[in-house]
Amino acid sequence: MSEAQGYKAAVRAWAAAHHVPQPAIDRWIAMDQTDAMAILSAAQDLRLRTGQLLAALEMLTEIAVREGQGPARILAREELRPLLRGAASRPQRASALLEKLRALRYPRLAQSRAQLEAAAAALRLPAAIAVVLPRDLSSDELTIRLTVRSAAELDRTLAALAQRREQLKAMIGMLGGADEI
Amino acid sequence: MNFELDRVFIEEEFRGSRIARTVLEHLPAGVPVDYVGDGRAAARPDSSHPDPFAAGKRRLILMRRRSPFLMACPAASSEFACCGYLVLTLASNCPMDCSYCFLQDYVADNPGFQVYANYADAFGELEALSARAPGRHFRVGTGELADSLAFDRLTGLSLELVDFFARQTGLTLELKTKTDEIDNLLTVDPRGCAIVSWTLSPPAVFASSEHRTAPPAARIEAARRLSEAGYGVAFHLDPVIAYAGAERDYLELLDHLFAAVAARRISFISIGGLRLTPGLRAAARRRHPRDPMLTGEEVLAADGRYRTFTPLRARLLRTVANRIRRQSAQIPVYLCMESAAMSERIFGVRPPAPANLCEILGARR
Repeated sequence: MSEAQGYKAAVRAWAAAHHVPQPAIDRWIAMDQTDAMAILSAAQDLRLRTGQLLAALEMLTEIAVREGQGPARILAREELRPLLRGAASRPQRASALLEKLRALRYPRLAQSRAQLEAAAAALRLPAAIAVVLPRDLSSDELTIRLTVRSAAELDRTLAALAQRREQLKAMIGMLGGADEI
Repeated sequence: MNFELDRVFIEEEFRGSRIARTVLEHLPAGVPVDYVGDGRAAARPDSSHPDPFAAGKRRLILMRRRSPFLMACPAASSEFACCGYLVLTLASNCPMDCSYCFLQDYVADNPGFQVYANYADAFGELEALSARAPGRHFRVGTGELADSLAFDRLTGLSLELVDFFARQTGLTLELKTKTDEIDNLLTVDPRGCAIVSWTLSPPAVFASSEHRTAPPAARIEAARRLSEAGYGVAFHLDPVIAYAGAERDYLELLDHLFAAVAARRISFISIGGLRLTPGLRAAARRRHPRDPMLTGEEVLAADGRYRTFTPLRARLLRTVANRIRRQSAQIPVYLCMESAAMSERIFGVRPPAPANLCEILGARR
């Protein structure tokens, strides 16, 4: 068996054992050998579940297209290496790897979300008020949820909300792209 | 611009028609021509080809349109603040190949490049529309399911369209294109009845995503020439793609545009963010796997399309809109396929109702 056949067989074996759908296997096999092996190595080391592998494969492919850098080089980055070889448990590292890949795939989204989450934390809201950001910042709707059990609690909650009117308006502005992204 | 064709099919009933004669006269030597009873079979995808959609673009079919020519814009929806645009479907598919083009999904089952030889029937539909709504103004475009001018050298259809619209009172023609194919148009006087519009993108998007189109500078130069010949000109900054450096590039593009075309000659500018249905996204990525413009920060939005996440999209749309406003507050500007709330965020006021916006955009100048 040639070297090329060897790595393809290794990818196929892992994919078959994890019921990876054929189109994903085809994309994986079509990669450069170094890239395909880097992903296989991460999948084996971290014992990725099928869904995690599919997510990683897609994000690595997309980051590679956008940044002109193959998956192997992406996985070798300083910020990812500790996740592949670190001391934490494998499930923790697998989960952290996907989080990190998501941040690389959606860098400005991650930054915007972090800004909005910081703004929400700075509100120091009482437990009766929850501010919910739209999933993936896919809309400009800010959900404000009040949970009360008495008329007095309602008055207190509304007063607390009113005190934060300007900060909340600023958050709505950020969702509408008013702030630096 | 010269687009290559593999084969031409002509339905028997149009053998000897004016459009068939014009096409055959201008067809490059060596392109085989077949006469068929029903062109619909030739329009279907060729599944033996690795890219049936691309193969369809190279098969010109002169055929009968068997459904109405005139329809509401297929993108219109109560979710969006729409512009009231009406679509006149004289052709389907396009010889150019933009990686983000919705036709990759929309006409995937019917990708042959169809030119409807019974186009004169469309004139009857337009006259009926005018008669039903006296005093109203409609903007009618031919560039939704096809580029309005891509094959104008071959068909000469623009001449008949301009001639027809010049005789109407409540109808304005919009020819939408990514070409610089304006030779025919320069030979006729539009008499205020025709707007020619260009989709404009920065050079980075052109190079990465807009295959076989005219470069942005050539489109702007064509617009300048037509505006000086008495045509209304308009621009669609659509899709606006939020790649790294996009803000700077779109501002430079607008600088270039305003240096070449006086703001007072611009009929309107539309702006729209990149949006991809899941089916289109899959088709686009399959056909253009190396296009970085398709790997931006799009997320699944409430309308079921992938769009740039809202804060970034809104910021970019606002930057573009503000630059246009700074040039001239008189240029009508609107958002395409965005909600009224987003429009209000960008422009500071609620958008007009579609019928009113249609009146504004279709008003003759």
